[in-house]
Amino acid sequence: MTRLATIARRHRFGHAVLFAVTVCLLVGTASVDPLLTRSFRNALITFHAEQQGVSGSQVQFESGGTSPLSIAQLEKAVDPRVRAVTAAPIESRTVVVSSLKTVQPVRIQSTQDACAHVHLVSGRCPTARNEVMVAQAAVRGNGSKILHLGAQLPVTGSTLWAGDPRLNPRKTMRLVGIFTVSDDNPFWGGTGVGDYAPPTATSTSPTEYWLTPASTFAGKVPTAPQSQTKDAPPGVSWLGITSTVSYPVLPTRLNPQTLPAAVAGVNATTAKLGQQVTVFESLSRIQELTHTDVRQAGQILPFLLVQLGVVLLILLVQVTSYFGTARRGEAAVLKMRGNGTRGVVRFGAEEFLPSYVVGVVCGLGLAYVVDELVRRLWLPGDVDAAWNWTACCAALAMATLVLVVWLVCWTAMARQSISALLRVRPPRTRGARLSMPLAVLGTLCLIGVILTATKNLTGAPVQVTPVLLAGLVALVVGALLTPVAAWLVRRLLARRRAAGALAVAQLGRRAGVVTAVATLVITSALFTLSISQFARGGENRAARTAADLGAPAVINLGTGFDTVSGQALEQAVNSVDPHHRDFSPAVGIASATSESNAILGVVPSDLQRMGLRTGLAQPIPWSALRGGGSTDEPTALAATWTLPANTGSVIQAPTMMDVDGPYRVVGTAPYIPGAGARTLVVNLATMLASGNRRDNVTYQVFSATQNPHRIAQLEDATRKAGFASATVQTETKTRASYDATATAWAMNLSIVVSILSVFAALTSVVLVAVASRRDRQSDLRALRTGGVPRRVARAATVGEFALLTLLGTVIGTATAPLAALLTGPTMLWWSTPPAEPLTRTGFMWPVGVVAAAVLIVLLLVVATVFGLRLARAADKGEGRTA
Amino acid sequence: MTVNDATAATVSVEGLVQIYTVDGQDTAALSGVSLTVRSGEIVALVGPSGAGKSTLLSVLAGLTTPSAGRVQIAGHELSGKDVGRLDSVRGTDLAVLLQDVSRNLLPYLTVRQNIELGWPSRLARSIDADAILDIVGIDPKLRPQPLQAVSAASRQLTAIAATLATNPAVLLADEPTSSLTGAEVRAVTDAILRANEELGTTVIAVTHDLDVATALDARIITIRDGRIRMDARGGTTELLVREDGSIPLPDDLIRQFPAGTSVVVVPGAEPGTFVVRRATSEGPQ
Repeated sequence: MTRLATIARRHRFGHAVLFAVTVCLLVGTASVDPLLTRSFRNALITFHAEQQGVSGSQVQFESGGTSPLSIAQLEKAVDPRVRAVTAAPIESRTVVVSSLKTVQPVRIQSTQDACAHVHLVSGRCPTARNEVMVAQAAVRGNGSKILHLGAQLPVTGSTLWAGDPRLNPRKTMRLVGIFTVSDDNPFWGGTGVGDYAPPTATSTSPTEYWLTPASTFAGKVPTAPQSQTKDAPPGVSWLGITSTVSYPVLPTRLNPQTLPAAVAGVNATTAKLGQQVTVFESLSRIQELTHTDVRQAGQILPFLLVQLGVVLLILLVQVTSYFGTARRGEAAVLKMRGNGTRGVVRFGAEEFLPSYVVGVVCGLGLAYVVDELVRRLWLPGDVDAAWNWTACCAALAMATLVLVVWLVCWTAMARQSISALLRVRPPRTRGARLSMPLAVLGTLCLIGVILTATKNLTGAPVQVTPVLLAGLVALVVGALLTPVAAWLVRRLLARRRAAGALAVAQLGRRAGVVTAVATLVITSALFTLSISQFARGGENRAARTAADLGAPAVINLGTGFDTVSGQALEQAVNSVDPHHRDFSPAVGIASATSESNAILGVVPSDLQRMGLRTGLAQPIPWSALRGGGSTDEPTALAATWTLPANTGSVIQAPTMMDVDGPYRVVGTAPYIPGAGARTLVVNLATMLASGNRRDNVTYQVFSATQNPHRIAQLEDATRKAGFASATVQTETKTRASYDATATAWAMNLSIVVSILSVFAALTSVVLVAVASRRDRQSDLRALRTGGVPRRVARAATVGEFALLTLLGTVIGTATAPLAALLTGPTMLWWSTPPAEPLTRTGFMWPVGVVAAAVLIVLLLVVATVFGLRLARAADKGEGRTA
Repeated sequence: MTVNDATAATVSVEGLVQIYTVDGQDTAALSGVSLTVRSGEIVALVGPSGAGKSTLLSVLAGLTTPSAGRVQIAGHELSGKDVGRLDSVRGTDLAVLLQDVSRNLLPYLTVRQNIELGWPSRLARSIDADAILDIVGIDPKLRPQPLQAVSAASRQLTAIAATLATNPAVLLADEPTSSLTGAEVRAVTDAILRANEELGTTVIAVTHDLDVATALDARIITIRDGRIRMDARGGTTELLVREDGSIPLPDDLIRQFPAGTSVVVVPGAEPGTFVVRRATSEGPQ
């Protein structure tokens, strides 16, 4: 039997290839899920790790004060789980001193391997005790008369840590080098060693960094008063030395397993070191940003791939049934030669075993290739490939399912009697018919649809509902196809439309047509819905990005230890943009509690202009804020999504006088761009006039431009005004963070999945054509014998396939809006529940209709061309037979 | 006239009725057919189209479930419930040659492969392809040829060889010479005769061609309207005694012995033979 199977396989190589491809796609679909889930999760974490920038690229343990821990003590205490995701530690010692020449606080820092991470502009790297190098920016800021190579720079220790100022030793530093540092060098962990911050009247922060070798810090801490006119002896060190151990985070080592472990490790280390240590780390933030996505990636992808799996399973049933039908004659011969049912099954198994094995192996390989392509071409970050046992198990599970499907289909054929097998093809059915398995399937589909419609099925599982709905529609279409076709034939014949009647008649009686129509219905629905959701998702993310920022960019300002004011911010903005063409200042009081709300003071005329630029659909009544109201009861705008306020109502919220006060609502909008949850928007001028509160006050600047030069000008101005830092959040960056989410990626992937499904449906149509080849030739012979012109017969063949495609795609695409209506409100549009009522969930009609039209036309053209070829082939076959 | 002992027969059919239902109408294809065939015998079932001969062969081959009656073939009783029961003994006790030659062969195999392959392992070991191809008379040069490359007669001979490869007790052949002419028909009949002679195979062949039946030197059973009308071999007509003791007569004998005719039965010259004569008014002679 093995030899016979080998010869049979060679004879029907196309069947072997088709089976192998089907198995390959099924196994690939199953096994790609764990791989993609891993890649999605890792990419999400890597993306957010990289988004933290250089300032979040290290886990820093810093110990200072009067009795700081040594570097060795710090390193010993660091949890191994932290070390697992970080590179070798970078050791630093810093001390803040006062430069007697510049009369400014400066930070002297010794960092291991510092010289390898700076660019020396002139001089050399400091190697001896009390040698320093300074940033070129500092030289420019102080003037080269003070800071020049060879300059002697006397300094005294900071008074911050010394109860007695006389404990501060005096030392003289010698300038031996001038350097610059690249801003994006992660080695420095975001510390601005290359920057120079001009001194302000109120500022006590160091203006610059002086880099020095570790030997500068050698010596004992002074315990007795030191001379303030002479340098301290070499054996005396500084008071207030801060020891820092920085562990550079390795994003490639972060994954859903190591990240929570590392965060736990950081917490454990912090607990172990106690209050003596300050920890700067971004791992907790990364975990906070990604944990929802990471969880959802594990839910969305399986349900998404189930859609493709269902279509491919239908194709597998069709392919296996076709193979069985094509071998009925052989099965009869084998049975007449004494092979029972088992013998026929064994023959099939031996013929298809190599294809099966090749399909399974290639499927697993395909999954890895797809995963590799997705990671390389699509996902952010450098996530490495890895062997995945879950993928293997999924492949084996799908391989087993394929085996069961094949066995069921094949055994059903093999168990038939010889006389039944000799009929070559199964008897045709008449009238509406629904088998028990299909009835059960239909019931399951109906239950799924009802559960979704009643919102009992929500979240990621809702992704399967379109398949269930389309499957239900397909089952109904399949059950009614034959009787409706018969009715239509009678109508067409009555109107003497022979070609049409023949086409419909052929469509209604061909074996496999119902399966092909079902596949087309499901895939067309999925394709149209996927396109609609893809476009809707993009629109939602764009709207939410615009709403989040309220402007193309927002510069959030940090106050550090210095006290700044809203007036200082206004002055800084006015200094670079007097007419507020590009920048508009905003001050917030972020003290929303259960009893109180947050406040955001803005310049209404500026935001009106910028709001228009962001293109939000909802108009914001900025003009109502122009007056600002009185300082006792300022006017405010309320976003009704979190504040159930009406125009005229009075709401309590914090004021600049450090107490809550009343605000009169003069306008509402569903959402106010730039304002967070439970935030009243007020006129900045009125707000600042009411008081000079400092605590819980935030400062930001709305920017109508993303021009880095202009933003840099503003940053300089704000720094001069006393703001310690500036974080620029652009629309592009915000949109990127929304695009790098499990939900957004799933929408992109659904396009690929639906396109693959359409190909599977086309294969199904081709199978119908191939399986009915003999039938068609026989029909055409009969028609020709009955006097039907060749032209009419050919038109009937073309019409049969055009109708088949049209029926499936039109019904399928028409199902898509219904599926959108059902699933839209409960499906996962966002990785975290959207805080704004900006998410639109309905069918995206313009895009959806265009997609449906393109699909219908495309498949119709393919079917017509295919039908023409079949008609010609049938004509030739008829000619040969004649 | 010779009356056979049914218990010694290779094939025994008794009161076989086969009814088809077409568009809700019952049609009797066979109406009480009774027949016995001895081991090594060649039987030709002849009759006009639609007479029921192919149906009879189909029932004998276990391809169709009989509506009523008793059928025993090669020691196997065919119940009315499970024709598939015979599948396990096909090849050893029973072989079927279908009318369409392509239905007996696997088209992608060579002539020799069609003999050698496709058998269960219990039968495959006993097959001597060259021996059986020699018996049916296929030229050795043709044996490695693909099936499509040989003539229609060779394909039919290959089909016969394939059915006989495992030396079955009974060969049931449906129109083995259809679509063949002249020398091709002779080649096929010679092949069947040689198989019968050398292998001792019992052959029951359906044919519409009396010349074929004659060439096979077969016992000829004429079937018409679902009934056996004549069962003859070289002037001898065989009749089967029914369970109730009655003996149905074929048409030609009914013409000579119309209903109500009184006959006398006297022992013949040879042992176990009887002579039937019309009774005269004087009484039996």
